[in-house]
Amino acid sequence: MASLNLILRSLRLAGGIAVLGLVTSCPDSNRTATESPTPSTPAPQITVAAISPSPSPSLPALSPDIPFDVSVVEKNPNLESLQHDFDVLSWNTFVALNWPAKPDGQPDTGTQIGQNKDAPTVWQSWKEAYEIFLPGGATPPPWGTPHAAPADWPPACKALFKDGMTPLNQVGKTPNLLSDTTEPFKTGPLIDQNGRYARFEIVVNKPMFDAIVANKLYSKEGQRSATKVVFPCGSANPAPGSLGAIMVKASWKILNDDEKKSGRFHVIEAVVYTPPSSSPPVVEKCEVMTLGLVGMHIVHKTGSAPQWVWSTFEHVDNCPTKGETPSKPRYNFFNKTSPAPSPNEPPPRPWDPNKTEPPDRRVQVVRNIPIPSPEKVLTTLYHAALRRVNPDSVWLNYELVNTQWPTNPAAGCDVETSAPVDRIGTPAPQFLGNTTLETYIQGQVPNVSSSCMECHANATTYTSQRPGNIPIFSDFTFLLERAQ
Amino acid sequence: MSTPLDQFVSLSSALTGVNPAQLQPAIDPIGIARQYLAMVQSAASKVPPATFDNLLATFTAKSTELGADQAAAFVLADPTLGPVGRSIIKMWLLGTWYDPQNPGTAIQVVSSQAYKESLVWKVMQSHPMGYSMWSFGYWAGPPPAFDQFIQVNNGSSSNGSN
Repeated sequence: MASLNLILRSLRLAGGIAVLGLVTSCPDSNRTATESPTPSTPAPQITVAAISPSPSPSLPALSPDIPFDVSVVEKNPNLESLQHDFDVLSWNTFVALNWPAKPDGQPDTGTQIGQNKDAPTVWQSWKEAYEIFLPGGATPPPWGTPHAAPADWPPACKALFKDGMTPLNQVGKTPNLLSDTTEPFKTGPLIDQNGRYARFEIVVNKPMFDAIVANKLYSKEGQRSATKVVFPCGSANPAPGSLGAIMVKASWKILNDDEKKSGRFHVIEAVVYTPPSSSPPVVEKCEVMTLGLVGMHIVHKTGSAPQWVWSTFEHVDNCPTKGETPSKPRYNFFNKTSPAPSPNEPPPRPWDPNKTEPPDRRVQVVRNIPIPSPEKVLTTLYHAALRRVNPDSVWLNYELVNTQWPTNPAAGCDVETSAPVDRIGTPAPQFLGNTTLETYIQGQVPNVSSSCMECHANATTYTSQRPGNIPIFSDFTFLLERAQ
Repeated sequence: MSTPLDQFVSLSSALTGVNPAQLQPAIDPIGIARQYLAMVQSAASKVPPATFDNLLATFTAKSTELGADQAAAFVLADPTLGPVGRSIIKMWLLGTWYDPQNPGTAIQVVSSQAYKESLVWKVMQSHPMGYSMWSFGYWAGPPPAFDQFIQVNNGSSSNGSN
């Protein structure tokens, strides 16, 4: 099969030569996979249509199977049609990752997404950063080990943790205080309109976890021995296909009683840990809380996109778009009645995640780049499919913001070697941000405003001042810097 | 019938020697050729619309008659069209529009995208100051080969990036 990668490269070389023969030779491009329980178990080969026939030909099928790669629809693709194809990949991946999970983390194929309004999802069983980068650089427990309270939590906090809960772990020690409650480039935390601090987590799927373990990238010592970091690319070929590395970065909002009752959020019960600090003064604290999902990045490495596919979703109540009249009665991160302070400004210091901040310290968020019409239309289609399953599905409250993908993809999975000049692959769209994850860097200035691929191309392995400890390109993930 | 954008890209390719597929990729999320065309067509360029229309028409007609390289030489030798052609060359190389009648006077950087997409960085086998599309530590090794940066207009070069 000729991959999309080859198609795009042919288009760049030929300036638009028809690619009919290439595209029509891709019968397997809609193959999908579930997470295999063991490394030796191949992902099942299955088509969307086969597992979940759409009730209407006009609505997308909802499947628990994660697509291996983008599926190109047009015989002569252009920028707009390919953007649509990648957006479909985003939505299908979102549906599969948020499919109700069985206790072992596998998708429960006996039900539908949203059938019971809400349920624990597949990706929530994946490995969180604190489970991979352990104190002393210890080997992480094997895939499938249930979540447990982090080892460096105090006993009182560990005692709060129960099966089924999510530990929302801020980095355990000063001076790294707040690193899991702040946004990129140390711009600051996000405080919602209830005065509570948003919380974040990053998880990885099994192929990525396996690559980290196999190459001992979980420790500083292991990273010192590494000469290259290349995570696996997903591909439908050869059969039965293989799933590439996937990362999820999620932002969560602490819910008040009304929000808990609203049924508008995907919720988790979490032990939220705040580490102690002397400057600023922050008291160590852990609380069991109900949190609602407000933002979700899905980052997916595929054969067509060795620079990864960057999909981002948000809760529909997060904020209004700049220049538009706020139409919703209430927003998670925007106050209609009191527009001050100025939008998208980090809250003033000092920051204390244990506090409920007063109104003048709550962040006033607006979306600087509107969600484009094609993405809105696609979201409407997927919402219609979700509504058929259950009109009260919580997933009706999440929308695709956009998908960033490389228009000039690397020729191979090893981006550093196969894309020596255009490492980031000329992404489309050029800028992309989630208002809960890149609140303060939304915009359209190269190398300053939020662009997933531009930023993550700078990621390296652990760095230190030790002579001879030269960091290397970490394949678009900053996670490896957390090694101990 | 070719559009003004097509004609502009053909003209630009002949003037710079760079393959039109690099100047205007088939899958093009940046659209730098459109930005440059809009710059020349704007009042800020100080190029009368009739002059620019004449430049495109003359180049297109002479290309059919003489071939693109000779057509480019013809318009550059023309006392009215030549200065505009030279400003177009500088715009592709530097991302900046220069006044055709005062060639040393830069009127404006076309856009932030134009700054980083300027061909001069590729000719240098380097990257824009303040904007690197390469990874940490690239400076420890030699730059990639010239033909990985620039697709010259003879149909023999490879993709500029991969």
